[in-house]
Amino acid sequence: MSNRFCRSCISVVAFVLLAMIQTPVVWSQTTATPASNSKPLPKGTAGPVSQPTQGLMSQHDIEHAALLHLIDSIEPYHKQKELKGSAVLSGSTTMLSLGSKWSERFKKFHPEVVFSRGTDGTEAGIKALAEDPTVIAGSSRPLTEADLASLKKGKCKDPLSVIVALDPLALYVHKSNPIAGVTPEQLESIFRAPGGKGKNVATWGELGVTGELASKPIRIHSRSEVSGTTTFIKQMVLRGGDMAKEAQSHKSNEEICTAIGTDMGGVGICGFGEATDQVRPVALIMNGVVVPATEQSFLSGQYPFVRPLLLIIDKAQMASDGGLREAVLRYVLSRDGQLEAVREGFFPLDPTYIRKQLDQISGPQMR
Amino acid sequence: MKHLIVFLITAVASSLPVRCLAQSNWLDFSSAIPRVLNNGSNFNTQTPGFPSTSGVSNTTSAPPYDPSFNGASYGASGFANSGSMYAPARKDWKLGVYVQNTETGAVIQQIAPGSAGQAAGLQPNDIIVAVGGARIGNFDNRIVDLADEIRRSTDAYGRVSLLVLNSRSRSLAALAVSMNSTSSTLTGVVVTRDRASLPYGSILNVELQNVSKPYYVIAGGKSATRAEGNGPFGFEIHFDPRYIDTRDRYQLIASISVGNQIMYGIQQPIPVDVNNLGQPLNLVLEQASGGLAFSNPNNSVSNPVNVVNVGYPASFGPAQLNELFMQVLNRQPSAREVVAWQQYLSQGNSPNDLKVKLLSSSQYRERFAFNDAAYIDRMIQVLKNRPSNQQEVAYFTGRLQQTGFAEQVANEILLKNP
Repeated sequence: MSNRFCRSCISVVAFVLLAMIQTPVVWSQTTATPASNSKPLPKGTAGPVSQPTQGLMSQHDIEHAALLHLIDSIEPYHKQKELKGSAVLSGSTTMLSLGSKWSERFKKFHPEVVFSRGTDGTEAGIKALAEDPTVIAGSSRPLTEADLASLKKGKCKDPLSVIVALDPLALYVHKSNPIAGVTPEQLESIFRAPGGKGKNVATWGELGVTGELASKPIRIHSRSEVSGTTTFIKQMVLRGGDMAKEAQSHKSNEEICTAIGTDMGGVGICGFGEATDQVRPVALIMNGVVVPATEQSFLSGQYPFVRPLLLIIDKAQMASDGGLREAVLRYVLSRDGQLEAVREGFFPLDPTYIRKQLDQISGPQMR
Repeated sequence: MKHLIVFLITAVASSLPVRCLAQSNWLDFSSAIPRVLNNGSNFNTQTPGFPSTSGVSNTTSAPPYDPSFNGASYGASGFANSGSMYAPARKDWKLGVYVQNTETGAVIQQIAPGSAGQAAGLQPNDIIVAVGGARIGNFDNRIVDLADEIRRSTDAYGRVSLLVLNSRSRSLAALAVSMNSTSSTLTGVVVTRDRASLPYGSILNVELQNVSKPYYVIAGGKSATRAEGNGPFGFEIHFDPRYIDTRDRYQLIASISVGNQIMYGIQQPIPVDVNNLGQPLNLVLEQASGGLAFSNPNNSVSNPVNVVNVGYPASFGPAQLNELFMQVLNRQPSAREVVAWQQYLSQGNSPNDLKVKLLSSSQYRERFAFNDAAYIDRMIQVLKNRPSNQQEVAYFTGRLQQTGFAEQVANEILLKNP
C-alpha cells in the first residue's frame, strides 16, 4: 500500500476510534459529608454554593491557574551526581542577569562548580565559542546557517543550540503616544533604512497618528550593531534588510525603555519584562485582528512576535566534562530554571518542547 | 466516503480554537511556545471546556483551564492558592518504551525488558497512534508527546488504551495496557480543628518538602484535591523516589484555601520518615488568621479569638504579593510573576528576601537613572518600613558604590538595627 493511502487510512480509523474509545475516569474521592447542622463558615468565605462559579474567575485568575499548571508539568531538577569543574558563560546581554541567577541556584545543588563570566554580547559569545569550545554561549536570537558554519570552521565541531526561555517582544512608545496598533508591514517600515527595498516611514502621521505628534519624526531607540537583539530585528522584522541609521544606540534593553520614557516621539522594541511605567506597548494588527501585547494574548498563541533565548555548547565537550554541561542544560530546562527565567521577566517553554530538547541533550528518555 | 471522512477531519481540525499565527520566517520554534490559555479571539473569562476523555487532543500538555471541569485528567498536581484548580495526585506510569515522534505517531525504537509495553506485546517499529483517544506525534506544528498523554489518560490503576499500528501485520488495533508505576506513595487524613463545613471550591493542598534542602523540589510531591464539607479529607501523594535522599530530613505541610485566601494551615509541619511510609499520616489544620502572612514577626495585626497564627505554608497569598509589588514596583504583579514569586516563597525564602530581589533587580534600579542616593533612600524605606535618615543614605550609597552589588547592600540594610 502506498504511504499516503496508509496515512489517510490511519486518520480515518483513528477518527472513528477516537469517538469510541473512552477511558474510565477514576480519581480519589474525599470523604466529605456535609452535616445538616454545620458550624458557621470561617471568616471571609462566601456561603456554600452548589454551582461552579465560572463568572467569578477573573482573567488574571484563569491565567494564574493555567500557569501554575504549566509550571507543575515541568519536572523539577534531579541531581544525579556530584559535580565539580568550572564553566565560562559568555554572550547575550539580555540573558546576563538570568545567567548569573541560574549559576547561583545551580551552585545550591552543586556547590563545587565554579562559573565565570566571559565576553558580553551575543555576537561576541558565538565568536568566543568558536575560539574556545569549552564556553557556554548565550544567544538572544536563533542561530543562522552562517553561525553554524563559522562555529564548525572554528573549534566548536558539534554545536548544539538549546532554547531555554522565550522573550515576547513588543513595540514600545511613550505612554502619551496614542497609536492604537501596527501591522507587521508598518512595524517593518518604522525600522527599515530609507532607500531600501521596502517602505520607510519618517513621521508619526504616516502611521495614522493625529494631533501634535503627527508631524514629529519617529525616533528609533535600539541596541548596538553587535547585539543579538538588533540582529534578531534585522533577521525577523526587516527580513534581512538594514536598520535605519538614525537609530539611537543603547547598551541594554532597559535603557531603551528608559530613553523612550523621556522621548515623546520615541519608539523601540523591547521584551515584555522590560517595560517601565513611562512607556506602553503597541498592539499588533494581524490580518485585521487587533492583538494586544499582553501575557494573555501571548499565552493563548495569538501574539506572534517572540524570540527564543538560547544556550549553545559544543556537544563534543559533553563527553569529557564529567556531566557538567548536561547538568547545566538539564537545570535550565527544569522547573527551577524555568521559574528563574520567569522571575527575570521571560516566559517558560512548553513542557513537551522541553522534553524533546532533553531527548537531544541526554539521549531518548524512557516513556 | 473516505474523502468525506478525511474532509470532516480537516474541517474539525481547522475549526478548533487553537490557532498558530506563526509566520514561517519567525517561528520554526513555534512548538516551544506554551499555549496554556485557549480563549480564541475573545478574551472573556469563560474558556471552552475540554472533555476529560476522547476527542482530538489539540492542546499541549497543559490543558486549557475549565472552571466547571473536575480536573480528573490533569496530569500534574497543582498547588493552587487562587482559583478553583483541582489536581488529584497521579502516579508516574511508565510504558517502558523509547520512541521517536513522527507525523503518524510515536514510533517505538526500543522496549525495556520486563516493562508493561513488553507485556502488552509491543515490538520495535510499532507505531502508537493515539493514547486514550488522543492522537500523538508531530502534527499541526506541534508535538503531542506520549508521556503527556499517558499522564492525562491513565486511570488510577495504571490502565490506558492505546491505538497501535502493528508493524508486522500493518493493521491498526486498540490495545489495553496495564502500566507500572515508579512512584512511592504517602497517604493520610486531614481534619480542621473546628470541623466547619467548607464551601464548594475549597482546596486541600498537601506537600512533601525536603527540610535539609528546601530548594530541592520533589517531583510529584504535591497534591491539591477538593475539600468540601466537614471532612475528614483523605490525601495521597505519589512522589518520585529518585528525588529522595535518605540523609535529608523531610516534612509534610498542608493548607486549605478558598479562592485567593488561605483559610486553614498547619501549625507545625509533620516530620516524615521516608524509610517508613506505610503509616498514614494524620494532620489537624488550624483556622488561619484571616489569610494574612503566617508567623511573621512584623505582622502587627491582632488575631481574632479562636484563630492561631499558623506557621505554614510559608508562602503568603496573592493578596500579600500584590501589596508588596505595589509597595516596591508601584504596580500589580502579572499572573506569571505571581506564580514565580509564590514558588520562591514556598521554598523557604522570606517576604524580606523577596523584597530584596525585587529591589535589586536591574529593571527597578534603572528607574533611578543611576541616581544611587535616591535608589538607596527608597530601598531603606521599603525594607525598614520607615523613612530614611541622611546619615544612613550616605553610608549605604557609599557601600553600593564600593561593592557594586545592590542585593548585598539591601541585605546589609535589612540586618542593620533599627
